[in-house]
Amino acid sequence: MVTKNRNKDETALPQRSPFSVTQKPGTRRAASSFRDPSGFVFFEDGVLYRQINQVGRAEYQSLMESGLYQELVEARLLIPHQEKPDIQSDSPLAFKILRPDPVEFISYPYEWSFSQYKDAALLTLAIQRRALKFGLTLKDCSAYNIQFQGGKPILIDTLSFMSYQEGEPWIAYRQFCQHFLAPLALMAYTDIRLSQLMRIYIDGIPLDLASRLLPSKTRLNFPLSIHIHLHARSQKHFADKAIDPAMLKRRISRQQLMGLLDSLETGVRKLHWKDARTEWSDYMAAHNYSPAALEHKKQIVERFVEQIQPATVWDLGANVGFFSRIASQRGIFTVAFDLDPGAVEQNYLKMGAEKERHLLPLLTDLTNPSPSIGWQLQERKSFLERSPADAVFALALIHHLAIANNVPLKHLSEFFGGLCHWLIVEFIPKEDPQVLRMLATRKDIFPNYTQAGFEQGFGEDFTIIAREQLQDSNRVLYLMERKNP
Amino acid sequence: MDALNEYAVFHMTWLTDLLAKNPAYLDPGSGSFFLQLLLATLMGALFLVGAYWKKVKSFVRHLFSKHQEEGENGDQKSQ
Repeated sequence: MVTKNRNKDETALPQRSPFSVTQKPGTRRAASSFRDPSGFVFFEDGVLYRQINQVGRAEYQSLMESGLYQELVEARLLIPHQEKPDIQSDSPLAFKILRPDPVEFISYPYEWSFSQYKDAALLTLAIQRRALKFGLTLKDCSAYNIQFQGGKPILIDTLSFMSYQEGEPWIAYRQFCQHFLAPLALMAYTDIRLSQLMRIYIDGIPLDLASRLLPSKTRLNFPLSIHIHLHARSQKHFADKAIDPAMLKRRISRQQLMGLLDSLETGVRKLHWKDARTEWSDYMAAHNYSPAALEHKKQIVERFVEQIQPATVWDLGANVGFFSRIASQRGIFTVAFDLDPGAVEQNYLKMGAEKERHLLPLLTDLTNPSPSIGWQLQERKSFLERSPADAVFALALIHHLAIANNVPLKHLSEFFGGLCHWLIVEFIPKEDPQVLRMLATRKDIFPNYTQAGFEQGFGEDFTIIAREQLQDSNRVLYLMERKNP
Repeated sequence: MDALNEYAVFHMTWLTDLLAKNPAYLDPGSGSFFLQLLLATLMGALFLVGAYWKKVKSFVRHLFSKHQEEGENGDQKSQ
């Protein structure tokens, strides 16, 4: 019977396991945190903590006492934490409990634009260099150890460090190549959409696959030819061979390790996404709004935002973030989701240029958003599991879902109902040039797609607070509040 | 209770011993390990060359600019 243990509470793990949390109610281990015996992350009453086990004690102490922690936190490269001596673990294997600062929004590598991914890779290498200065080294290089905070990438895995013994090779080299170099190379040389392979391969893209998918001209690129192509062949060669003990005794000097890091950094820096003009990245030049309509729409959204004062906003179909900035520039943390990699990239680059701190652009297809993946489908959270937001913007979006994707209005209402308390949504009627274009080559099977039908469809889940017709346009903006279930 | 404590201590010691030598839990991969060894020699040499190349360059520049200064001083003196 497959489901025998499915309902077993994981806090009931025996106390001898390095992964057991206390028996206290309201406590559960984070489902993604189980591979490292040095410690793990858990929730208690909704707050995130990190337990350091006795076996991780030395690593933790060297991080804190060497000066690396202070340097990284001051430079905003590592998430800060507080030690919690008042929290006791029942387990005798526990050494200390930490409370890391919370991250605004958890995102995953398959949701990042090209430059976000590149910045995350460069950050990882920069941290490894700094660690070596203090006699420490990264013991893993998972892309999931990086999150975005205040608009910039940051390392969240405090337990990633271990003592550097001169002579030892870099344990995390393989993982860096699979989690960072391979996806970036594929995005730059083959197709920008290949970052989605990170959804399928939980430990990074296999190098033999990357090698096969990359064009042959990458063999002329020195770092790629070595760290991907040659690396893949080396992995294949050793796959079924016993390790020669003499090989294990060979040493790599610090100088040589620095050379390796240099090579990886050059490899990453040289990667560029040349074809950044995609279908939607020219939207701001190509949209249908007259200047008056655009300005009016902006004012309406501003007024709605002032009225509801949301704590967080998700802008769905945000494109380059023109309307997302209405919230983010007021200091409201805003996640700007879009389907188009070019739009997300432009949004992120603009954010970097203007040093904006309250915005997070991410890649998502709302008709097929990120699922939960990994062991027991619990390691990485789905799009829905990371909701709710206080408010959602669904501007110039409904017609794409209802008409282009045939989603019934009631289904859309249910979908938004699960995501937010406040909804700022734009209805685009059939007479609108864009919808006319959509319906030009197909049968109109949308008898309910009218303003009345829209209000009715959403009426079960939401109360309409305000309704405003856009100037110069037949589009209508709504402010809605979710009804209590 | 005592037996349980003893077991926990034993387990801890065994695990600590095992991991003290290598607290990393990650499989580095033997292919990756081998490649690093192969590259180490090559990269180290290039890195060293790079570091020394800067020194050589700045030395040569310094030498060159010194000659220029002396040349100018010579001109001035002759006037």
